[in-house]
Amino acid sequence: MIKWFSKNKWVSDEENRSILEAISLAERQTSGEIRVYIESRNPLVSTLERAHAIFQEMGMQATAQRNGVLIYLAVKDKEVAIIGDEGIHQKVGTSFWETRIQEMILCFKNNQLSNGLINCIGMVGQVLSDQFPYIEGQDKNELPNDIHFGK
Amino acid sequence: MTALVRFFAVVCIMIFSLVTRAQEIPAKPNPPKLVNDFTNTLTQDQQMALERKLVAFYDSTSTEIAVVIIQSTDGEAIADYALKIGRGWGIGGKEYNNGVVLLIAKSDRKMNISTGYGVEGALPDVTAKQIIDEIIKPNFKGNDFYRGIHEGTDAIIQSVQGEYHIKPKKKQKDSPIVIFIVLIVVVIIVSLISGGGNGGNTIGGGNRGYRRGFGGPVFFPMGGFGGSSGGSSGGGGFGGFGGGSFGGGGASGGW
Repeated sequence: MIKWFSKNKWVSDEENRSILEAISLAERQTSGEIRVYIESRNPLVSTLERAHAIFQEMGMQATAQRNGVLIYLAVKDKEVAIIGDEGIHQKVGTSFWETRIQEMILCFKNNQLSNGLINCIGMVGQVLSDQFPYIEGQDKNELPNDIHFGK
Repeated sequence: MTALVRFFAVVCIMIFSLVTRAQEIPAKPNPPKLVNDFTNTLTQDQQMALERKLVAFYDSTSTEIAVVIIQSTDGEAIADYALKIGRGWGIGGKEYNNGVVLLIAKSDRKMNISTGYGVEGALPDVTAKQIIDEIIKPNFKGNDFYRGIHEGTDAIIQSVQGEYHIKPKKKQKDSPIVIFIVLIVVVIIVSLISGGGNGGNTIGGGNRGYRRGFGGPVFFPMGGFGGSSGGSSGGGGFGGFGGGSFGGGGASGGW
């Protein structure tokens, strides 16, 4: 059961790779960290709360400058959330996150899951690189770049 | 009686030898270990260092990464051979299938990373190929086998990380609480129903009460989940969901 559910069935290998590329491209210019978590259904009532829980479970608050960003998707529930740690949130404010959500929803409605994600990763990467520029030799990839697939 | 036992023993041995014959892979190491060098390419120290690293990773994530170095696959496709080892030795638990086999056929100058279904999401074939081409191969070409394997397994660990220590652990942690809460709720309901029975209500009324109560346990685990997560966040900066002291921000929506 679990092996069947945990298989990634929402994003093709090709898309998976381009999303990963988008993440590493975005992170190349910044000390911030971006992660994507995809599952079929959100077990909690609130999307944001679920995103918080995952943010925490993945230890994303462990970045030195508190600039981790998580994009959360519950594909079957058609829910999406984006959260940023306090370092980045202080710089961009709530409106930034809301705009990202609007943009992603627009793409998702046209069944462009990966495009929506890649665009969003690009925008987040840009803001991160403005606020937390990459410092040669100092920045390390604090968290592994990968997409996490839940159930 | 003894004849019967002997017959069974013979049958068992026959089946066993048949199975091992058919697979043509090295016998499963006993005691089991994750680093298996059948070619004496790595020194004892190097094997131990790798073993320690992989066992530590297994302990924290339950993902088994096995390194197998053989002389040759004797003409068999290396991917098939690696798969046979993964299945034959049972690398990666049955439940999650989260095993990875890094197979190196030294004389054939071939290598393969084969993954169980459970880690395929975290370590897709493209990533595995990338790890082989960009990390392992250049080192092997320079005859630095240890470094190739060391860095290769590091890369595998990096990409697998996170996939397995998130969900299953949480489940294990929650399930006793959930069962406990469900039990309490059931006890309360039962006592309510039996108490209410005295009032001479209709059976239908009792049923309704039971039903409404039954919604409880379905909802409760979520409460339990939020609570336990909040509790474990003491060290982190989040401060839990109830407290609302999360310094960051975000937004959500549906489509």
